[in-house]
Amino acid sequence: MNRIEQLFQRKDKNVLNIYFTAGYPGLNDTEDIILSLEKAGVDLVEVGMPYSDPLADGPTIQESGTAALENGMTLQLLFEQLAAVRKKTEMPLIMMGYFNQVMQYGEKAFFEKVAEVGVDGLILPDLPLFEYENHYKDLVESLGLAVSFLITPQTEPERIRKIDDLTHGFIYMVSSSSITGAKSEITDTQIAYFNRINDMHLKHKRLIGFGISNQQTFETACQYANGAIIGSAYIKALKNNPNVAECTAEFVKMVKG
Amino acid sequence: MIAVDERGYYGEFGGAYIPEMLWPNVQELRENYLKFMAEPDFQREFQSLLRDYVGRPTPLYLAKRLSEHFGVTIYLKREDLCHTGAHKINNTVGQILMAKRLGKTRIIAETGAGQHGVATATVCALMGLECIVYMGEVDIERQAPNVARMKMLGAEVRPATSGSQTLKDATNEAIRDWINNPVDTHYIIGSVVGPHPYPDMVARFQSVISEEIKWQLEEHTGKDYPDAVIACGVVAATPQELLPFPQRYPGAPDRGRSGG
Amino acid sequence: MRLIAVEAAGEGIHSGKSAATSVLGTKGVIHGSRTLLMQTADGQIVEPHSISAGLDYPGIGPLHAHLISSGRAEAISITDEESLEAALFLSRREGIIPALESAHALSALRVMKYEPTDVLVLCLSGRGDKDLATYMKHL
Repeated sequence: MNRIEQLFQRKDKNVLNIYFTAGYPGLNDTEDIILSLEKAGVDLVEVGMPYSDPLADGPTIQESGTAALENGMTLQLLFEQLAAVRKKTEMPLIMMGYFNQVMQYGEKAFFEKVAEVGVDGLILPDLPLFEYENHYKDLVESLGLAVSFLITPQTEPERIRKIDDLTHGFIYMVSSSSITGAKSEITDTQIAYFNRINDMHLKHKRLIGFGISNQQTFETACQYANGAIIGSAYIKALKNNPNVAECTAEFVKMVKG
Repeated sequence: MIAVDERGYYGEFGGAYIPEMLWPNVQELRENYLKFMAEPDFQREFQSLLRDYVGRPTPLYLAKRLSEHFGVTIYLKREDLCHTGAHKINNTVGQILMAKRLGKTRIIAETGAGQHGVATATVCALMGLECIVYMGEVDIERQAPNVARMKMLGAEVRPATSGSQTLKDATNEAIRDWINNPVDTHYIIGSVVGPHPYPDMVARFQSVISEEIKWQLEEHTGKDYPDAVIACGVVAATPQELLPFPQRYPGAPDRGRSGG
Repeated sequence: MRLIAVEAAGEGIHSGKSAATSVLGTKGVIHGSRTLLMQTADGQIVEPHSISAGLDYPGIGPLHAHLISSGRAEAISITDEESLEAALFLSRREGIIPALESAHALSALRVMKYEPTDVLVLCLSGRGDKDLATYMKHL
């Protein structure tokens, strides 16, 4: 059982997952950010692999990715940074990126490297379920990695069941049909969707992401799922205050109340 | 025609590498596009618009002075004579009929040179649908006449300001718009790119060009296949007019040649 | 029958300002399909360049990737400069002002090999009204 599954065994409420883009604001901030998030009481950290064309992300994450690439971030360097961080913390770590990055590294080599440096899970939003199931699932599972798939308000029940079957770790519930960072409030339509998913009694724990930015939205999300994921709001905070330790402590305090 | 397999692959290329947020839209299209295209009503409407609105068939013109210069026989397939001035409209007419049958009320598109944007704005005006065209900031400047045409036709032109501010970035923005509007919007992609079924659907709509070349060339020369077809680009997407041609591939004898 | 696919070499295939995907592209994913695209070794998509806005894209469609990599289609790369010359040539030789995109295809006639008895069909994909400002700048 990897660290993500262990986390959900001991905690199934108010799980806070925070996303950051590796290489932003500074090229070598990865370790500082992860350790600061841990210190502030975050449960799970999602490490974004900066990408030139992040289709599922909004402008905030795209800009941070562009800046990170300009800073010189590469997958090779990120793996080195994560291997070093893993010696200092047992925090569950997830890498999030786009499938083209995996292809260029070499799919098999990539998955093996992710496991080797001590990362626990993956989110690859544009990796089709079919491709995953037929080409990568066996390898990924044998390495003990937890792959999380996304569901949205438009995902049909039959497909949600399939995703529940293929998922390890948690299901990533996209709060509304949107790119990241697009909305600021949780609506009745969204709550109806959260309830509908609750009623399906899925096997896996669920975290709500997209549009979670503060204490109010975090608490609402936690009422309807096991926790939530915050990305753009944290990136914005880092943009305003690049002092990682200070910014992170303040931000997490603001969210958790 | 080189057929796409049911997963959307041509050999090792193709597929649908899209985030889950796009899945329902793409799936809806995938389940319906061949069915709709096969309906007699659809074909009637499509063919009559191509004839009476687009102005097809476009001429196959023997370019004598060009032939003379190069020392070979050159025919020009005059897609420049289509309504709106490019081949792009063949595809947008097809896709707007598709969008209507899917019950969509809002149309988005990306454009580089602006030809696809104009062709999309045109069919939206024709059908009374809202139209938003994403265009790179750099392209907005270098293709100003087409920006004006889109505005004249009632479309909203939204600048894409990321990256090199060209076609790739406009496409990114259009995809994001589609993610944010998963129910009422159809995305009219202008080239044989994007997730399955787009490349196949666009290619099918554009194959009218090659169908015409075949019978026109036969009228002109008695042979239904040229020795070579030349088309620009990969993005301007003209080579799909070759689609009905490569059916004898791979390596089958070239009947057009031996019979001609 | 040969299939000639003409792409944009920008300021030269290896100038760093090009959109010649058939030469510079490698296998990857762009805009939802697995195809050939211009990218770094780390999988970051490279910014393309072409004077033609319609060809200024770092990838090609999957069908074209298949036709080109299987050898069924031949790819020819044409620079900005060559396309401008071809546009002027067609305008004055046949009285047809082509789009910059189509001018790339025209320019391929200078480069490709053919027999004098061959019959070639060139797809003149669009007209050049939209490109007049660019043409005037280079006249």
